[in-house]
Amino acid sequence: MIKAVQVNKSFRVGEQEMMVLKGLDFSVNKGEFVAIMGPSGSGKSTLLQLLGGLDVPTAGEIQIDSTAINRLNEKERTIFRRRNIGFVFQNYQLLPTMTVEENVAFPLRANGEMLHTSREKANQYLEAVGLAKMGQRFPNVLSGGQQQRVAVARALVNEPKLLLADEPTGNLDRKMAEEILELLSHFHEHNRQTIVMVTHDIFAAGYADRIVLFKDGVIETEVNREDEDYARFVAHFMA
Amino acid sequence: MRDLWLISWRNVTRNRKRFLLTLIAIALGVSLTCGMLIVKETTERTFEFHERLYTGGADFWVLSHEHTFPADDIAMIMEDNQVQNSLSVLDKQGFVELEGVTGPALTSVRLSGVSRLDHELLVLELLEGDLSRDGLVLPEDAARLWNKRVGDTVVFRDMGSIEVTAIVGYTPILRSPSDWEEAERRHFRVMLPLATLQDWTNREEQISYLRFQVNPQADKNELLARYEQQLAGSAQYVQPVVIDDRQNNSGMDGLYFTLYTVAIVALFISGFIVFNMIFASVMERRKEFSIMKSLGYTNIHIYRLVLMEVLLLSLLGILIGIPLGVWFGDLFQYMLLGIFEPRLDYILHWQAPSLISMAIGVLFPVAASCIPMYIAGNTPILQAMRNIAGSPTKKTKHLRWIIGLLLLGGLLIGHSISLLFLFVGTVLLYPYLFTMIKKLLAPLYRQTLGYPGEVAVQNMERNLNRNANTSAMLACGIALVLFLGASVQSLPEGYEQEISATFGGDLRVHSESPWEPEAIERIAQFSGVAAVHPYRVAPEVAWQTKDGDMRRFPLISFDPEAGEPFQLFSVRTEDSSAAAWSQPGSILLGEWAYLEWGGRIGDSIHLHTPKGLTAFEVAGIVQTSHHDGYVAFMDVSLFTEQVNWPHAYHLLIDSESNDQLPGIRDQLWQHYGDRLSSITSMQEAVASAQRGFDGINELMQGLLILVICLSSIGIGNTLLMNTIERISEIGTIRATGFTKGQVKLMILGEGSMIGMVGIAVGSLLGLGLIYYISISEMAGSYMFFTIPWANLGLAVCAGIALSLFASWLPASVAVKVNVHEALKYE
Amino acid sequence: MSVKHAILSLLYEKPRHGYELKTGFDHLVQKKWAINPGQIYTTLDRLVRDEWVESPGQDDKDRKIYSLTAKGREELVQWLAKPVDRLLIRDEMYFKWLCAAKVGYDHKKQIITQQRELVIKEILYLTRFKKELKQDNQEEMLDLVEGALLHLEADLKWLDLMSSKLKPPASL
Repeated sequence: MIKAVQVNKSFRVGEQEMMVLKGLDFSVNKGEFVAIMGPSGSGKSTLLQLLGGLDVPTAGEIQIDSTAINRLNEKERTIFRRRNIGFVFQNYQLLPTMTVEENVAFPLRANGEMLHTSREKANQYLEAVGLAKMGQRFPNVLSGGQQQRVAVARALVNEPKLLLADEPTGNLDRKMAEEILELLSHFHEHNRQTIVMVTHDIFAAGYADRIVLFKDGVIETEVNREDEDYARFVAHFMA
Repeated sequence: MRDLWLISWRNVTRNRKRFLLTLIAIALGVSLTCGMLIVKETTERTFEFHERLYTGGADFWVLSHEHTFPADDIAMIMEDNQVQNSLSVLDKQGFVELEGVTGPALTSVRLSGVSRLDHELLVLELLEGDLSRDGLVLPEDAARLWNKRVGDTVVFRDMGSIEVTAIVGYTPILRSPSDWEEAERRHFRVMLPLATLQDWTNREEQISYLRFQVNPQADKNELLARYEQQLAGSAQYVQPVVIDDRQNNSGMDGLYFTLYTVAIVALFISGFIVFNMIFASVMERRKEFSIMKSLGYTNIHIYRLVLMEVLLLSLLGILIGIPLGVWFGDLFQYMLLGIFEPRLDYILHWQAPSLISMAIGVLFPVAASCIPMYIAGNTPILQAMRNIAGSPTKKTKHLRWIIGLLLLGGLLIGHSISLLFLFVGTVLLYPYLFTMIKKLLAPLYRQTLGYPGEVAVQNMERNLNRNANTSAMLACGIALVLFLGASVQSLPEGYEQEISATFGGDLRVHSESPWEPEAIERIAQFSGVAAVHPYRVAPEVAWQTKDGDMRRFPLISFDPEAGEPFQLFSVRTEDSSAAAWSQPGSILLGEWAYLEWGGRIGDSIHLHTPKGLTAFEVAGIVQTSHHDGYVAFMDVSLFTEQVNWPHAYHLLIDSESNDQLPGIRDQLWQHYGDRLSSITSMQEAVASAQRGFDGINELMQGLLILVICLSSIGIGNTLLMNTIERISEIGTIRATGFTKGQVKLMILGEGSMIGMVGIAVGSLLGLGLIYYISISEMAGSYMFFTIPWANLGLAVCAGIALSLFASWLPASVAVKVNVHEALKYE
Repeated sequence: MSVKHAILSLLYEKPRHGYELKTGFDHLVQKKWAINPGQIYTTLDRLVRDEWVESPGQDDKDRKIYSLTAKGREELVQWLAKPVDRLLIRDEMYFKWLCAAKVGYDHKKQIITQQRELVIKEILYLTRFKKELKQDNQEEMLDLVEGALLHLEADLKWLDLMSSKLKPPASL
């Protein structure tokens, strides 16, 4: 589903070029839930931005479901993103002057969908995240956890091929974080949603199928859950 | 103390763009105000100066109701020991002989023989030659057109030849045409020794008038009374010299009103921009202020902090604004005086206006910052530190529209101040208007701009007050454009109607000597002439306002029996007391004279007529185009008796048709050319007025484009602030679906909405204002309801164009930001 | 804590005689774990029997010298590479860490990496387990799992700390 090949990304900081990603190879299979961890400055957020088409690599290729998004221009990337990718941010990033329902419907309306179909779908997903009655409220009266659930609904409303989450539990306490992670997990298990999540919290990363550790712009290690050994582990734990 | 200023400087320059915009706003407000004040001051002084030039510093003059009189007849005055410095003048019409130029109208000259060419009372600006030598003195316009220099000889037909001994600069007493086109309508004026002219015209010892100064310590009123008494019953009379040029320069008050209005509007808009900037700055720093307060700063400390920042901005603004204002004032003054004939020289009076503008330049930003200052000082400590936004209390919410409605009610007052109330009231009620119109426009936006348009409409709610205020500024500017456009449009029409109704015929002929009955008969027989009608004018009659101010205007005779075309005035309503007007002791005042006088119908007004100081009862007010209404009328049957003015120097001619006019002129010149002072046609009078209006019209439009530009700076500023505050949101919008193009559309939608609402409300306001003024007393009969289509079109186009243009920068800023940086923005 | 492997490490460094090994051990663990000399010799015997250590001869003071065999070297390296079971992580891993210092940087690095990977894998497993328990509403087990996860989080943080202390040898 995702295939990033030899990706370089450098930024100009003042007079210098800072190389954030170096010759990165990264791939994700359809239906996989991958967590990316690493210290700040390691390039994990940058990778997520590149995957979401918010930025282009300095070199290398990024394919999402066989579309080379690095070759698209700004406008094409935006259109591709709103049709195929869902984003969840650390700060929820909800629009304060719109109701919860309008927030969730935004990607659809931006894509030109009619008002009433967008509304229907939005409410569908609001229900799926457990906020069925909150449609007409404004984000500022919701708790952090609720806001993030709205964000998740918005990310999924366009039935994206890929869900990208950037520190989705960063602003939440333990309990709310767990709610969100279980929500993501739910969609992953039942809808086979492909998810790539950046986090610095191992607790959140634990919900993934695979954890990728970043350091200095390259992948340091990867740890798979290896479900073949799962039963044995549980037995050992119980003993 | 100095480091407080340093801190303030740093705070102020923290945000470059905001600093510059605020500075520009202050500078523009100050410079426009300064410019307007300078123009007002300079114009006033210039006219006054030229008035004084005209009177030359004399205290009295002695005139006659005859063309000339023997100087001996007033010997007792000339020899009075209080009389110093007397100047005798003889005026005579003649014709100059020029090569290549013929035709009586073009070569008509008024020769003024004066007792001494270098007399103190003449105030001549010598350009070339020598005034102490006896010879011909030419004004530079005449010298140029006649192509004569000092030393050349000039021949006057049937009079004599004389050497040019001096050329002088412009002075009213020698006012001459500046080009041959003007020479068709106006005679040349030249000066020469009295004795020479008396000799040429066989009028030994005769003069037209005497001007003199009296001993400065003398009691002028006492002297006036004495002289009046001495001349009582004779053909001569004495007048005090009064500086009053209102009869020549009407509309000045209206002009000054416009200048003040423009300055106020400019200040308003600049003040609003400053308010927005300081408000945003204060809001951003709420956390800082609460920290300062938790560390010990009191509210007053914080007021002082903000105040210093504002003062710093003001000082810089003044530094830029005043020189700019002086330059602008000079430019505008030059253009303004170009409207008037002749173009007067002027000295720019910039000192006092600059000082006043400096004071304003400090006060208005401070005033505009009062509310933000208050908010800053009263930042609640804990709330701000935790970034909790406070919500406005219910009380302040309602205050706005309550005051707004109250102010609108001020319209009923009917005084010009109520216009100010109207504007302020509109601004206060604006948010509600804005919301209403926004709802109406929403479907349109959805259709044309799609979803981005819908979002734009929703976004307006967010900073409703700020957006409404900005839009209000534009609306006020547009209302002003329309209003002034209509007035400038309807005024000429009104004038033209007035002139044609009250001119008194088709031609007006002014002779230097009285029209004898035979001459009148003869003229009536000219081909093309339908009828003639003489009337009398006692010129330069001094009178007193209710406040004791000395003025002068002409006193004109009217004949209730005269035919239709010869009516010199009209009345607004059918006055039943018309019969009373012909009562002895009654006088009618033109509208303007009446307003200046300050009294009421039935009161008495004191005039120094040629008969002497007399009180008359003001029996009525009339509309007339003569001297723009700064004039008085009296029944002709009373003229000799009450005014001691037996002769008619003016003749009105009604022609059979307009194409006969040139023929009539020719005949007049042919037969009476040597005594004609001027021939004026009604069309010329209209054309002359029209020229003035055209000039003013252009100036107005220029000024008002300026106002709209200032408004659009306001719009750009508001949108920029709106955008910058929303950078994080814009990042979200772009991350979750909007392309750059869609974001731009959204912001353009917001900007154009502010513009549209502004145009809509402004147009309604302007049209309403026009209607209101047209039916009210304020502008007299000159303003009637017309829709200034050109101005409306200009306002709509300019409004749309400028609001789109003003949206462009914020839109570019919005899309330039990197999406991921925007998302992290706090 | 494995005395066997400590001796192997010390011998990796250089061949030593018995008393040297005792002092070496004390120095290595900085007196944290105490053993008596007898344990050294007993362990040495076992090591020789397992052919991980041999005694080629004596030094000039007539003391028996011990040295590492090829087999012994292999055993040491394998032991270092094997991550430690969860419960003993701190002490035992730290012990290995200390031994690895004798062997070389790469081995130290490897210990961290391996241990970290194991911890992460265990977290992955436990999280899955937690999800399943939640669905079946097993409260008590859940508590245990939560506790274990918290410990693992702490362990991971500690490993990160250790990792940051790792200084590569000065480059040539």
